[in-house]
Amino acid sequence: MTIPTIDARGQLCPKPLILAKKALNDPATGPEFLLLIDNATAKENVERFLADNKVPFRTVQKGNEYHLTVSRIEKPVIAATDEYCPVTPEAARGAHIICITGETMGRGDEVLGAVLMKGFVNTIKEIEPLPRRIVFYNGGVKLALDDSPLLPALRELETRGVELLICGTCADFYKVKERVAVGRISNMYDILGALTGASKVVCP
Amino acid sequence: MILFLFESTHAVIAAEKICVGAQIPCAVIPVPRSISSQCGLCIEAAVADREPVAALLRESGIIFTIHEGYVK
Repeated sequence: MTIPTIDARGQLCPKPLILAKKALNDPATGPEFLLLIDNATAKENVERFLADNKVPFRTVQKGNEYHLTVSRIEKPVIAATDEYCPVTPEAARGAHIICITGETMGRGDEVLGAVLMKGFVNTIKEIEPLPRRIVFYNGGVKLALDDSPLLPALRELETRGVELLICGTCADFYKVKERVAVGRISNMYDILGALTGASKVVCP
Repeated sequence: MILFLFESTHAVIAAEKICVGAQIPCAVIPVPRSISSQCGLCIEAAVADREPVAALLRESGIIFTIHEGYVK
């Protein structure tokens, strides 16, 4: 008996995962289906997703391809696929850069500026496309330190593929180099290269 | 997550300071458009911290409302 085949070859995560989830949740699929994947990372993520949802499957490797025979279970599969594919596809990231030059947003009252900056950084992850990079310099580096309330938001952005560049000269000047908790320490060449190569630069 | 909404930006700033002081994780975010179209900030916290945060705010005399099940 032939079983339905889902061909996810040539597709990168999260596409194979989304296709697998759809087939699992669709009663029309039948008791079993075959999922074809040719990307090792996508295969591992799909396997992890299936195992966590207690979906029986077996994998056979054929050359560069992985053939997963998956059994449908009656319980609907609810686990969020994005947990298994943390890296945002290139298309979901824009070509723009956000430039954080201080601890505050705008000029005027410092306390207001600080709370505005928190609102701003916490919202970056909600707006697509995500920036390609976020550059932090001068007082802006303080937002990337170990005691920053913005660390969870910045870490999420980093997981989703946004590169965070922290000005090394600035971290050194403020004597906080050891406390940089997110992103990559970089220099003027990296920073100027990033700013020059951006389609646009957003400065809060 | 739950949202704490306030009557002024000053109250948001005071409330954030209180949460940070009490080491309760919270995030200053814009008030979601599904709640208000006006420009404003609010505080997002974990459901588990609902009562501790509410108690601290009440102690400080800060007026707030709590929103659940919002869409950003």
